[in-house]
Amino acid sequence: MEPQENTEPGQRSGPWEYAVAAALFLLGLYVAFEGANVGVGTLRRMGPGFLPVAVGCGLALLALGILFELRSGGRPKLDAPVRPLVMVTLSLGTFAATVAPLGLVPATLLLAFIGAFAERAMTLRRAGLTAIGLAALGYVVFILGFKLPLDAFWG
Amino acid sequence: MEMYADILIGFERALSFDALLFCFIGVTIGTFVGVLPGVGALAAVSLCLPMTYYLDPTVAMIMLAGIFYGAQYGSSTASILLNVPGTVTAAVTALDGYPMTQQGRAGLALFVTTICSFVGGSIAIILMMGFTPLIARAALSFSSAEYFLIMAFGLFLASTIGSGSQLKSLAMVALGLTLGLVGTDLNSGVSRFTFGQVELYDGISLVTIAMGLFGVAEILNSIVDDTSRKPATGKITFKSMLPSKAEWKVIVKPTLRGTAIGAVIGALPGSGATIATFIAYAVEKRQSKTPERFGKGALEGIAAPEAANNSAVQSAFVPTLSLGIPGDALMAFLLGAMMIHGVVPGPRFLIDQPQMFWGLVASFWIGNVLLLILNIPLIGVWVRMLSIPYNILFPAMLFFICIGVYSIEYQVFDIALVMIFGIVGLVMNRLAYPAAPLLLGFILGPMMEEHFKRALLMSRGSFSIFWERPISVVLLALLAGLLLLSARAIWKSQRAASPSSLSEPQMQSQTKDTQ
Repeated sequence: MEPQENTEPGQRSGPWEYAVAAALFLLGLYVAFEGANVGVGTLRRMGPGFLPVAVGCGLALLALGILFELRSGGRPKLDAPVRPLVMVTLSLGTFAATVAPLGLVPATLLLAFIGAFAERAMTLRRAGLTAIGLAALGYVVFILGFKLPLDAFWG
Repeated sequence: MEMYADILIGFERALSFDALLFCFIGVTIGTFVGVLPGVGALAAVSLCLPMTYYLDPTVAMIMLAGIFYGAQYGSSTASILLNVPGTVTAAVTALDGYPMTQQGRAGLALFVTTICSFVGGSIAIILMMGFTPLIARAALSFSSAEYFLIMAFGLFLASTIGSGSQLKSLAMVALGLTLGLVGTDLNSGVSRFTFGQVELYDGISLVTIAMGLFGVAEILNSIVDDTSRKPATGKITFKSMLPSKAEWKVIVKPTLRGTAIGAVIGALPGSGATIATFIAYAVEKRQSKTPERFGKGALEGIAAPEAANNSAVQSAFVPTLSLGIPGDALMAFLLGAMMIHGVVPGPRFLIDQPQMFWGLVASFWIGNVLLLILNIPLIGVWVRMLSIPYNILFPAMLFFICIGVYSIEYQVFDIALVMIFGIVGLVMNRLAYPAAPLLLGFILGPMMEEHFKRALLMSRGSFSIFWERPISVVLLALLAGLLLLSARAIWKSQRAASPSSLSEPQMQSQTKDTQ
């Protein structure tokens, strides 16, 4: 993915632009503050907090610069693909939550089945077949083949 | 003939069974992900990295690099047949490649792009064999202060040269550096930004960040409801692929020009294959006596950019392997992979690990020949791949991403992390925050911190070490010049941006020009 052009002529920066820049600013401040807490040290013997303070201040300054720059144009909207975002997040989250208690096969079935519906045109049949196929593949390759320390099923 | 012996050693390593096998696997995976739109080379390389943990480091690098340059070969297929570039670099190829398909000359286009890729790649490998040892030898005298400055210079150049807001790029470098801070500080044993999570004590892994920002975010971007992509062509016969004598003549010079442009630009930090292809195309168009044919199926229009893109991809290894300074996100990732395999990048790499360096170079030759075979006689297989629907592909990719990040340290926590980075990556993409500088900052950050500390330790805390030696003075001057230039650019764009007219970034006018 290549960065796209930043300034689109004549477009006003939307709330997301400002929110993200502000979040970066706050993150910078937090990093610098935490760094100062663990000890900056001296130039001869730098403490673990030296780089965090430097990087945090840099990030905060750059974010201020971005906030300033945004006044002259930016993305008006976030334009996020809502359905893929929700379904993919849900599918990854489900896998993370279930892979340990339920085992690899059920977790894979859930992951693929939920994830497939990120696409509106998905059918139950197709999602089901994809999920079963992937679960079988995962079992053979990763449990029998690579011997990952995961159970195929609970228990 | 010390080098001659080294080259022989390299081929001996690269021709051993395991190296050949994994080179083949690498370039095949590379062609596969290159052919498929919506699956990037970086995501593929990061997916495969955990699988290489058990391999010999040389073999691992051979395979990972194979994915990288293999993807450049494959990427032209989708752009020629579907007008959907498999990678960003192939977007230029689509300009003239797709019209050729519409005219029924798809076979010829595929053949020419493969041959030009091969020629471009091969010439760049020769250049790489010559220049890398020279640069590495020159860099041997560098001290920590110079290293720090070179890295800062490379990082700065890499993140400001592209299109878009320089402030946003630099902020992403800072964010990458911040992410690199997470974990236990090696010098003091203090854990930084771990929030008490045991899983974070070892830091965030490179694979997790790369898969989130490039893998998951890419999937989120590529899911569209329209699944009606069908290759526009019927059968591609071998006969239809072969250029006529006149056509051979047309492509020779553009290929060589493209190769030269790619080799130079690819070796510079931050520019990389994408810019090289755009420039190669623009140069051909300007050169041509009949520029109006461009965009309508001109052979030169696919020959030059394809040669440029493959030559850039190979020459990008020069700074990465000689200095340990990557020019773009992919090189940074390969550098990170080297470190994970316990290889210290930098000028000593060539001296300490000659069999690895020359083995890698020799494998590039072998890989390019394998790609020639994969892409000309077997092109039909890849064309059929294009009909795999994305809605089967992306659940599979989600699964491989989960397993991939899990297998790094067997932590379920990392799966949650990759999910978060995926969302972050999507937001970044939508608001034009580039992801590559973040990865560069993340990988180079710890190395820079180390050199910075070491330099100041040597000088007993005096900054004068940074301008005591001629090399560092030059570097410092370059860095200062770059800073001034970009400050001026920001200032100018701000002034120009005042209410009535917003200025277009340079790159945009460049690309407009080429269309």
